[in-house]
Amino acid sequence: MLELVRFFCGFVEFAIYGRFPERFINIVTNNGFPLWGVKKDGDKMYACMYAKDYKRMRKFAKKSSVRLKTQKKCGLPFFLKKNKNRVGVVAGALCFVLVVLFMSNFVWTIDVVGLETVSYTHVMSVLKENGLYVGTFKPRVSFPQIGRNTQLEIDDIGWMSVNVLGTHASVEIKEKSKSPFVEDVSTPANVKAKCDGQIISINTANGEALFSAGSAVVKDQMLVGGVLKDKLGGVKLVRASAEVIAKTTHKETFTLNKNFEQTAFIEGDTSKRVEIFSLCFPYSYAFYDEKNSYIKNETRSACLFDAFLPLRVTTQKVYDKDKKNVMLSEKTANSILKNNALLYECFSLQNCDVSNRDFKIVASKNQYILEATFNTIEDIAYQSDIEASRMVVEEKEKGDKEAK
Amino acid sequence: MKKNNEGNKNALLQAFANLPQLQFSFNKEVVIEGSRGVLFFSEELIRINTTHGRVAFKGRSLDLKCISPQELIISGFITNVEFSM
Repeated sequence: MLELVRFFCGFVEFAIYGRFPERFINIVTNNGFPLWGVKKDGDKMYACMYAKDYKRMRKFAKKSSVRLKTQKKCGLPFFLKKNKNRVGVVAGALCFVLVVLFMSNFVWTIDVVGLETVSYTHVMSVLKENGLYVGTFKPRVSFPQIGRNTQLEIDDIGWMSVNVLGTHASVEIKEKSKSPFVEDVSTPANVKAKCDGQIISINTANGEALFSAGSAVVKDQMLVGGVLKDKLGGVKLVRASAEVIAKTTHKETFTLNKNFEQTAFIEGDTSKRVEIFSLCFPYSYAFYDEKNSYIKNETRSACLFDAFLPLRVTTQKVYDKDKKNVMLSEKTANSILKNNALLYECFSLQNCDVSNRDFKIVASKNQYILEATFNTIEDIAYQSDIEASRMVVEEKEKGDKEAK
Repeated sequence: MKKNNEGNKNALLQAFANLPQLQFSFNKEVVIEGSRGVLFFSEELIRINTTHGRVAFKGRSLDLKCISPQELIISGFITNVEFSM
């Protein structure tokens, strides 16, 4: 700070020649002129003082019989004096300072930290809607308000903060933690079959088993009851649970048209543009039809010491849609349909143990049809809640009928 | 008893208040308050006149970092300090 003051006021480094330079120093300091950087080098002594004070040193030098010689003139007044004829340099320096001051009122880089499941693009678009984007004029917006609005718009954000340091905005996000799955153990329920099958084994954890191994059951048939009767004839409702392993069969049909329209994307023109701050300078163009093409944007930002600079190059690639009518051969149709069937097995029957699979391909007039049959072994039990109120009503009605 | 203690303390403070103050930063720098001028100055020896006597600082690469009418700062490698009346 002191050095900055000295620079703005301007100071002189001078040499003191003579027999008693200490006397000169004492006289000067006693008259209230500060000195600093006093050094001795052989017979000479060096010191620094403010430029405005140095002009008055002649009489003190005479009084103490020393001679003064200016060594160096430093500071802003000397710089301006030296360059007063160079109007362009001074104007340029002034313009530079003004431009830096003006440009520091904008946000030039945005960084989003803490995203796990929420999309970065989505967050950036919501921030832009709320007023935070590259080129935002800082004095006109309230960053805490932007943070609050964004948090309200995106449900998955639990906490967020927009911190602006200079021209860099750092958006810190903490996503909401999802509540853990809590298994219901109190609601009374029966165990039912989720598909047709033949029971191999039945392991009941709670409830009363209604079938034994070898029995055939149909979909939604009750396998284990959640209504237990005690010795005194009372009824107790429990949440039945059981593992019911059964042999099942899954049938699925896949179809494929013999003639179909195939869409391919062919890489077309490429356009590029340079973005400096919020200004955009395109340097190559691409022409495209909006309906029959799609565009892929790639943005590369300049980076210096892990900080993104407001200098970006965006490459826009155009892919044109190319539609063709393709006639499928039987061999190709077979392989496509089989692949579809195997994908079905992987995703839809992932909890089943497939013991046998059978594919039957039939060709109709316009289509190839694959009928897939999967013989599986799986747990067919699922819990179905008992509606207690309905049961109470039914029991009441039953009681009334008996009374009549 | 308590009043006596406070009285002694105040008397001590008043006695020290007029003495020149020397504040060392190990042997690298010393701030002197109550200086009355520089008597001798070289890279090895600096003699300072104070309100209560003279102080000589011996060392290597000594210089006067800053001087004002009543204060000065000596920096360098101080090896010896001598007081004389």
